[in-house]
Amino acid sequence: MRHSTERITAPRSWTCWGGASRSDSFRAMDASSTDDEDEVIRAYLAGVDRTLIQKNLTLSVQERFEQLMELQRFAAELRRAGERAERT
Amino acid sequence: MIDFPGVLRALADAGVRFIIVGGAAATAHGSARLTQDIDLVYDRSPENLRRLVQALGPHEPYLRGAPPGLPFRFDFETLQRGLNFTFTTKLGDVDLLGEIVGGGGYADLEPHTIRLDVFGIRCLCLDLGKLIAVKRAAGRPKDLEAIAELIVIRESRRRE
Repeated sequence: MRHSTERITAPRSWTCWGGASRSDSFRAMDASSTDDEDEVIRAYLAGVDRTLIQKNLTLSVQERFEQLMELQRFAAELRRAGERAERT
Repeated sequence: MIDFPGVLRALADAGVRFIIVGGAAATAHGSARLTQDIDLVYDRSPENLRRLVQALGPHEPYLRGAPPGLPFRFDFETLQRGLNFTFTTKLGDVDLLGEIVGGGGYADLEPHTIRLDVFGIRCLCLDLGKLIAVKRAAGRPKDLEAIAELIVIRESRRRE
C-alpha cells in the first residue's frame, strides 16, 4: 500500500451533494492516509445518510445512547427471530 | 446489549479514570451506526486498576470468546499483567484498552477529550477529530465506512 502525504483535492466538476461539497469532505480527510483508504472512504461518503446524522445532532448525548440501546434490543430480537426461523 | 448507564455509573462511582472511545464515542458525537460494546481507554496507574476491579468485579467480567470454566480472575494482578482486554459482563460487553493504535494511552488521549454529562454521570469521551485519527490509524477495513460518517458529522457541525 502506497502512503501519501499529499492533500486530497476534488475536481472542480464535483459539486454539491447532500448539502456538502465533495471538496469539503476530501479536505476533511487526514493527509496521512493512504490513497487506497481514501478511495474507499470517498466511495462511502456518497452513501452516508445525512438525514440520520442531522436527526441525531438534534438529540442530546443521552438520547443518542438511549436510541443506541433501543437499536441493540431490536437487533437482538431480530437475531432471536432469525434463529427460531432457522430451526423450523 | 450494553447497559451504558450501568457501566458508566459503576465506573464513576468507583472513581475510575477512563475515556470512552470507539463506537460508543461515535454515538456520542451523533453516529447512527450500531455498536455492540463499549470501548474504554483506562489509566494504568495502580490506584486506577484497583478502582477498576472494584467497579467491574461485581459484574462478573469474563474473557469474551473464551471457553467457559477457565480459571480467570478479574483482579489487580490480571489487569497489571495485561493491557487490552475484551470482556463480557452482566452489564454487556466491555473492552478495556490500556492503549490504542494511533492514540496511545490515557495520558496521551486525555488532552483530546470532551466532557460528557450523560445519565447524570460526568465522563470523558474522545473528541471527534481524534476519534477519526485513531480509526484511521487502526487501518481496519470495517472502520472506513465509520470514518466517512464521522467526517460528515464533522462537516455538519462546522456548518451549524
